[in-house]
Amino acid sequence: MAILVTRRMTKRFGGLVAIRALDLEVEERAIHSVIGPNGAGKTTLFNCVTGFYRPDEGEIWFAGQRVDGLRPDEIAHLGIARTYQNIRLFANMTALENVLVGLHMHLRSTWVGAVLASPAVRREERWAHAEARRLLEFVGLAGRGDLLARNLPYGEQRKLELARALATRPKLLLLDEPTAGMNPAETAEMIQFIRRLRDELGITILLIEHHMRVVMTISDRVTVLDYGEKISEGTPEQVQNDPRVIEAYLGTRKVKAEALG
Amino acid sequence: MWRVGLVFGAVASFVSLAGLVEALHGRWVVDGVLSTGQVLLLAIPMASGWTAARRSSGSLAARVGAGLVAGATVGLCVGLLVWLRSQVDLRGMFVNASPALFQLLSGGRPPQAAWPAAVAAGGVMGLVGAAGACAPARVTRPLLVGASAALSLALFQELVLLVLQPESLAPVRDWLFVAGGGPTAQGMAAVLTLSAALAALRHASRGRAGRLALPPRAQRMAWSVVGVLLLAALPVAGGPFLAQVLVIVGLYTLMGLGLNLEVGLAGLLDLGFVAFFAIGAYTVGLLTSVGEHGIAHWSFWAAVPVAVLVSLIAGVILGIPVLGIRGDYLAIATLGFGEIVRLLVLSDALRPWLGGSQGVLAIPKPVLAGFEFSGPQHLYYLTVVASAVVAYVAWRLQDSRLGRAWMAIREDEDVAEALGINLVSVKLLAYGLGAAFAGVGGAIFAVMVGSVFPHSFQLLISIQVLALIIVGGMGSIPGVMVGSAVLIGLPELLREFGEFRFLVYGAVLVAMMLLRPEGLLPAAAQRRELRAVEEEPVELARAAVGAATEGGG
Ligand SMILES: Nc1ncnc2c1ncn2[C@@H]1O[C@H](COP(=O)(O)OP(=O)(O)OP(=O)(O)O)[C@@H](O)[C@H]1O
Ligand SMILES: [Mg+2]
Repeated sequence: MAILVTRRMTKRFGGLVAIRALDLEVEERAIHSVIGPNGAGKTTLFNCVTGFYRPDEGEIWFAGQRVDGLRPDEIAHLGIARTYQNIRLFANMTALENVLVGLHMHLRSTWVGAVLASPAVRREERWAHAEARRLLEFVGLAGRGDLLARNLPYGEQRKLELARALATRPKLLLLDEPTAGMNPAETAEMIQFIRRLRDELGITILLIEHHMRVVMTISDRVTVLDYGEKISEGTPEQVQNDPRVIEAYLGTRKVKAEALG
Repeated sequence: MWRVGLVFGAVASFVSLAGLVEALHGRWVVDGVLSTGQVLLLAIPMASGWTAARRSSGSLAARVGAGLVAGATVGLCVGLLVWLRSQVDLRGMFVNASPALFQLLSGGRPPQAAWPAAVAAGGVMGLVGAAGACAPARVTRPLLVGASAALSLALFQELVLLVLQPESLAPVRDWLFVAGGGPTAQGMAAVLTLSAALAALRHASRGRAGRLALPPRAQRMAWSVVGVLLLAALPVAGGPFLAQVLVIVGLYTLMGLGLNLEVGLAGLLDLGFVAFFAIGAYTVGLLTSVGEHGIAHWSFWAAVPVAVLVSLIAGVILGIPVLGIRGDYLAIATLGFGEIVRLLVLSDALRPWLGGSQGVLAIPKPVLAGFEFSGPQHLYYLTVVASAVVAYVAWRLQDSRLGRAWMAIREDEDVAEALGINLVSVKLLAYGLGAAFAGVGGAIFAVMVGSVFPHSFQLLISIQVLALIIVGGMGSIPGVMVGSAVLIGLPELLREFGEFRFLVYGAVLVAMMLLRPEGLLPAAAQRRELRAVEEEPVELARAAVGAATEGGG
């Protein structure tokens, strides 16, 4: 069953059509990749799904509920989380605090309870700290919780962003170029990690990725965007052999990252 | 290095022409020998020499030479100023360029003969500064502490004299101070050597294991007890004047704690903050006044919760229209709110209720179980208790779910929202609770003055509160207290600084931005981080063990 569906979704910026009448279906528990040249509209798609932008036309459905027009926090509550192309951490908070913010919507305590330090609040805070540490460990940041996010090395910042997104316990996780700037060993590790998210936690993954080898190894399904339009869709093999895709990548525009391979 | 000297020379000329040196000249460091004004003048070439020696990277001789030149350049600048004044009338432009000032600058010499002496004195002070920069901390630190202690005694001599007033302390007083004058040479020397010796001892014993027998927890307890006793004793020892100053510091602390929620934690700039202070004050005024504008004749204790609630609601009401405004625009919008409140209470339309520019008069002092909080010494305790309660609330809030959400929207509003944080409720809570804190301050202010009128609630107060947060360290609760002590308390205590208050403010703010942009006592996160870095090896080792024993996840 499709967990995320867009119907003829269009997003314009002034005269520019960033996404044109996009029909997309993401199956539950799939790893679904979105690829396309620079400026194809991939990040814009994420921004529409998470409520940062409101589509100009069309509909977005998530888990049987219409979500376009909802606020980002409402969409988060329904179970969509994301990471960002250019990492966006809470730079002056510690790694642990970043994850705790991710847990925000699963905590109940009010400010009155916090001031009075009621037993319920104290219990919840203890649980939240333990949970946050567990998540840090899960992404491989054990023992790094007390460092400020901005002082973590790049690779660890990516992991922290993942931990924070996972803290919201999403059903659908949107990953915007999670392997950007990583070396082959780190990339392989990330592929393994994304698989685990799906296999162990049952999270559906929608992935923007430029490394074609990554896309081809882990995707169940691939959607190709070009100038905001879907030009191809199918299994990795089908997409790889689609002449329109090859043209879009090898055509007039420069190929980002690596060629199809 | 001569460029460093020129900068400091300009500073020396400026503080002289602005009148600060002369104002400080009225206060002795050693009676009849050295004044604080002279100390300031001598400190500038010393700082110049220190900076130059710090910057130059050559041999020891080169660094000392740089200090000498930098110090002498300052002297030359002052000498030139003296000579210039003998040629043209500076008073037309600088009202403070008085004969007395130049008498001081030239050391009583004729203008032509003044500059060699000034250069020589500057050079010597430059050398001292350079020596300070080259010497190890084990030597300079105690000297610096000693000098600071001596200077503090000179600056706060009125206070010290107040404390020493009882007849039983007369011998100490007479030994430390010339009757009716400044400190004695022997007293100053004793204070300097004693504090320097203590600092040296402390420095020497640092790093030695088992230095203090008490465990950290007990140490903290001991310090808290000392702190509480000190807080309790201060107004008794220091008299009503000190108590009054401390009450004002307390009121600014209350406002600072409130604005700190908005600006420091949630990152929501607010330049109209004084409005909530005013609303708290007016609410208490109207509810308790026995004058013509009083509406209820309530007791102070019944009025305070209402004042806090009204301020909170006012904060939320301000918050609603500015919810969607970010950054610089927010500053302007909130600025407007502060002025609107002030103009409303001033307005003729509301005069029948709020008293217009006359304000609400005849606000009685609080009475608790028959005890009246009449003077500043009584109100001081009220303020301390209120500040402690509010600081506790602020501390609980900042480490809570809400506090983390505030920090998150300060760091990145969009990301915070995408993590499920409702921006509307979180922001309105920041405005409301911040305003409520200021309302507590306003309530105490109303009974302290005994009347409230619009003139007390100028934009300047909002700016001062913001400044003290910045100086103390954004988002830091102890920082708020230190900030208000430094920016509000010190200028009140040092009467010479009264008219130079904003000069000093400007200098302090610029110096802070350059030297310590995170503030005097930066927020907890940074200190946690520092601690974490120190403990890192242990932490990492523990992490490695953890990873080896469990599979994770
Ligand atoms: N907020 C915005 N305002 C105006 N134009 C925008 C905005 N966001 C994106 N665009 C434009 O929309 C188009 C699609 O941008 P988008 O960021 O979605 O591309 P992308 O596929 O993610 O590219 P890349 O691979 O470089 O990340 C681009 O032409 C971009 O300039
Ligand atoms: Mg993109």
